[in-house]
Amino acid sequence: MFRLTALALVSLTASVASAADFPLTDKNTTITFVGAKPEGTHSGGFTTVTGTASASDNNPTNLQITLDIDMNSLYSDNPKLTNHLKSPDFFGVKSNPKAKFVAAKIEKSGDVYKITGNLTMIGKTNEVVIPAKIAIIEGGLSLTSDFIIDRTQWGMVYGKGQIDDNVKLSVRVKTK
Amino acid sequence: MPPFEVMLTMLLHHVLPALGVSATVTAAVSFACGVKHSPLAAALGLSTGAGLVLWLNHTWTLVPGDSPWNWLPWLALAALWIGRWARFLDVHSRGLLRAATAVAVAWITIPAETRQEHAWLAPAFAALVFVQWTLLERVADEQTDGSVPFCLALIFLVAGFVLIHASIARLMDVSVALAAALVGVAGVGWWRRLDTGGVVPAVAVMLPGLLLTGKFQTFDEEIPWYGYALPALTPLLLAEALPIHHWPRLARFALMLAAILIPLGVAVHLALRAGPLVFE
Repeated sequence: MFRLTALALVSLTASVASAADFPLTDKNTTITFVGAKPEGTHSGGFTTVTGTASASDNNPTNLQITLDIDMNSLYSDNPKLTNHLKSPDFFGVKSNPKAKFVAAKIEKSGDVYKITGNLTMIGKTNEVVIPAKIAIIEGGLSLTSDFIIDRTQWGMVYGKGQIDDNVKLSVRVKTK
Repeated sequence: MPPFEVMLTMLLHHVLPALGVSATVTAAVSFACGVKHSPLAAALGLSTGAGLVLWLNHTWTLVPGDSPWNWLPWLALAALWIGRWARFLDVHSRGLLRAATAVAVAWITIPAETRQEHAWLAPAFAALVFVQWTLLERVADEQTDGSVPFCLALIFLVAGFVLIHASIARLMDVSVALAAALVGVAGVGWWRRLDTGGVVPAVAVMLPGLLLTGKFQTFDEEIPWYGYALPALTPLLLAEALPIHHWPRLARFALMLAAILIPLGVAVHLALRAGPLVFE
């Protein structure tokens, strides 16, 4: 009887350990961006992000990621520019206060992983495929990704021809 | 001052096309259909001049996403044609149609949560659209010298100045395109002594609509609410031209300009207090 109970406990512990949940917060997740125009670049990011990442068997290809971004938390290297980026010229934050990313599929691609997911912002959802380095070790998730999106795909067409359509995004997650 | 390249781009992409198209269309329609149909010529001139520029520059959508504010240009266009139709009705039916349009514009444009938060806003907006429409159409009917669209162009320019200081260039672009198109209509109106009242319904919707959108979409809190309200209310001062319609043309025009320059000057001052524009 004692053996059976011990076995059940061990198997329960193992199943809990194999399906790890990683809460994503602004303490362990950073999202930054760099926008460019002929005269130079501006950088910024979002300070309030929430979400979850869960993986079974500590396998990155089984990761399920959901990330919500509070667009009001947008910041940049210039306060006046921050207000401009929040305005209807770019994100229209008062009408579109949230952005969301949901990963649909993660595949191994050489040394890195390829995350395919849906990015919703400014009321429009587009599929994005982003490269990422992912590691799940010692009960913690580490994810590093640098990629480029075309802002016009989300209807952000202001300044087309004067401001680059492509925006560099960097995501860093370190839960432990 | 904005850099030379920014001003040149604005001139080439917004001002000159809107002005050229509106003047050409107004002149062509007034020649083709006769001076009797000059309100139609003015309405077509404004809608094609400003509409083409907004479409070419991707500024037809005022706010990204599915915001109700985006209905504004469509409602202005609808008001133009409702205004055209209303001219054939008797005074009471015309008034009712204008009032119904103004109420519809207010309720469609202003998002539900904003209407709930500020219960007075939609009725006040509708009242302003209705009063400006009624008053300005009468002034334009009597002042067949292009002075009304010219003064309205000046008001739209100042509205654009306020909106760029609120860090919303998209709304400034719309204001400038409308100002340029109105100058085109005013030029032809002055030359051919046209009744340019056809532009009034669109102006009555767009001017307060753009400034209200700016006030509720900006993250720059430095411009006080009356910095937006002043340009929106300024067209009402053009009513002073009604009792002096027998004055010489230039004297009347000078008085109209003097009256609107005072509130517009205050609005410019309030916008400038928001701090310098960032262009780097």
